Amino acid sequence: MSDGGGQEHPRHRLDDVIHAPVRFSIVAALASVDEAVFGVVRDGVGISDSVLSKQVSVLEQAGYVAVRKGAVGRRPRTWLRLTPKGRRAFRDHLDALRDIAATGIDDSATEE
Amino acid sequence: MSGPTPHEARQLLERAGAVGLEDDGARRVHARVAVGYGVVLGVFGAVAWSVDDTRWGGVVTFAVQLGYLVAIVALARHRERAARTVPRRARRIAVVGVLGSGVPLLTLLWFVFLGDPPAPSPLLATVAGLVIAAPAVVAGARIRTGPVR
Repeated sequence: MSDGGGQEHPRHRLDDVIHAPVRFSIVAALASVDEAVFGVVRDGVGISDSVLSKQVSVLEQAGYVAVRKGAVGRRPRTWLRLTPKGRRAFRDHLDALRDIAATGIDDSATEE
Repeated sequence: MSGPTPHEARQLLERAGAVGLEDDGARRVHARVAVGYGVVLGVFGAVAWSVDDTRWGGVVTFAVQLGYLVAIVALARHRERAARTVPRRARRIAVVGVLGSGVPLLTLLWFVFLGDPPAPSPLLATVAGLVIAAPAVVAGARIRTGPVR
């Protein structure tokens, strides 16, 4: 849908799955590495195990995050990583945010 | 979706940059393991060439092969235990480095086992080991320094 002027507003390019605040933080955290242990992501984003599990399931269903189960000795260890699709979606989402932010700079410049 | 305001968009972009899981300790572990693979491959190549022509060559080569396998498994386990993150592109750089070491190693082994060359001098064996180890060692250094920004 167009907002007038014949050009689509960048908000239409925002990804609904990534846009949710907690999922945005999880994806941003995972984008900084190739893979990370579940606990590292949990502590880095500052959420509980259950919240991270729930949000990772949503991201996994969208095909944005892959989960790998491993073990260190007898302890299970879960690894999380962004899939190429997830990395691309996050990059596009950031591009849309940058465009929205840039729109704001133009507005304020016009107001002055 | 109503979408964020320009101010909120800027805040989100700032937050995206702030939530990083980059870990210098993990980077060190991955770098150390890549260097370790290079050293193991280099030593394996140099020793296999040096002992090939000797009386106990077969036994020594078998022992070195066993040691090589143990070392590779130990390095992989160390990486899995000690590093809780995989830095960006570390895995790909390590694979390229190890493959880069594997090519001269396989060339040397082919030369040693099929060409039946004379035993090398210690200097020549050392040089061969260094040439084999170099790509993985460089990969380790590359992982340690991180991506060029």
